[in-house]
Amino acid sequence: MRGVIVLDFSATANSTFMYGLGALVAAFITILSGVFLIRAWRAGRRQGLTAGVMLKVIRTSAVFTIVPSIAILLGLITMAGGLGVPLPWIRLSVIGSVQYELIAADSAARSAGLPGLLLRYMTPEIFASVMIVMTVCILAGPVFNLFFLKRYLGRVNRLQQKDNRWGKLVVASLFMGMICTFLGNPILTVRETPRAGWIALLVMAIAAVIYAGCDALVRYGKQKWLDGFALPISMIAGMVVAGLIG
Amino acid sequence: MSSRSPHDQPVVRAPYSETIHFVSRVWTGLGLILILAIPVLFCLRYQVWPDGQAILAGLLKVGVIYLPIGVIEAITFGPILGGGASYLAFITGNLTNLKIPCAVNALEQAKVEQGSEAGEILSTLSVATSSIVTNLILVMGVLLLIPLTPVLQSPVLTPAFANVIPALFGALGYMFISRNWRLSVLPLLFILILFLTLPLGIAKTISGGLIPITVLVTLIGARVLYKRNWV
Repeated sequence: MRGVIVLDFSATANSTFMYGLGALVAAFITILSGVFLIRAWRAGRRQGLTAGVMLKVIRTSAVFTIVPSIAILLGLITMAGGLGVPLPWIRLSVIGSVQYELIAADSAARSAGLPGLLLRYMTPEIFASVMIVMTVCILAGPVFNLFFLKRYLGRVNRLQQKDNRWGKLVVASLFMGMICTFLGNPILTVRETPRAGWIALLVMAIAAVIYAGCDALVRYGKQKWLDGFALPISMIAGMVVAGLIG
Repeated sequence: MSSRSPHDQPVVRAPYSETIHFVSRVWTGLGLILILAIPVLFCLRYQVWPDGQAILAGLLKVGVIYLPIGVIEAITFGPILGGGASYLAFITGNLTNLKIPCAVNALEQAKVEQGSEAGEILSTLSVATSSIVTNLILVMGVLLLIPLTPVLQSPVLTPAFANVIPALFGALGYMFISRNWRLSVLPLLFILILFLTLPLGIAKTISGGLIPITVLVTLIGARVLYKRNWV
């Protein structure tokens, strides 16, 4: 032992060291994303994609990302009460998502004998255990990619080349399955807390109607400027209604 | 621009979808090392030994569900995102609530097909941009946490941000169902029946890992529609 005495765990969870780790992860993610961005841009130019098309994708993606990212930041604030600020920052920057992190951290804390995810009951040993559980349980996806993604995507590509119409339908079905699952989730909320569930369904309906309106304006009203903004506008419209009546 | 003599042979490059795997695997490996290093560095710095029983109990509780889900997610989302974007999205996270809708929306706006070479490139551009923006917002949020917390937790903004996912999937739902409504009938019916008939506790427990099952149902329906030439 080098004489490290931990009295107030909040100070440890929010220490300069932990913020340093957070900064390290943030720097890694920035470099990683930058490398992929540059490689994709160069590949795009070789492929014959125009700078205009690629810039449009970058702009659309940046604008689209703002609102969900603020929701992720809100998740960070929620988790900070139980884990301090740096660990949620780290966990929400790599692999995880708010839903997963909260479930994993809470389960790990309860497994260690805590009544819940509460910083005031945390000890360094439990905190380390929570970190390990949160980290290890989310690794399956990237580990799969590391060893199997190339071969798997090769098979999918061969399927698409063999039967292009069915191949396209498979990819469309993957996304449709995901959308339909999320469309059904508010039904569970209605059963559990009816008011919150009905608000979620209303938000969904409003976002869909506003998107349909934007889509019609782009297609028939020649409002091309709306093209990259239809999704964020419809989301914000739905969320504004939730804010007003929620 | 590089100058090339007329005698030089033009460089024939393999397609992006093939070359991206090597570099992506290197970065994924580095990412995994960094992610695993965080708890190790914490233990070393504070000289603590984690509670083995708590880890085992936590792994059994959480890992049993989330480790298979991770693999199934990679299988499900890989073809949607394509090579480069998949590696990147699985390191930077927030897949269903951000990266996948972001990439799909970007391809939609660019009128490029998913699964094509151009689609793979644009999907990577989209996920990389999204990761940088999220990273920036999180860094700014951490730096401004004290003044931002009461604003983000205000009575108006809390319910608004609690409904980001319904707002996102409401709009995306219109976008995709309006184009291919036949494909959506079976999965929507499946989810509706499942969520209305199952006891609430069971329905809530399975809802987290339901996407692959709904995808399977959608694929079965798609195969029937395809055979009958209805899609």
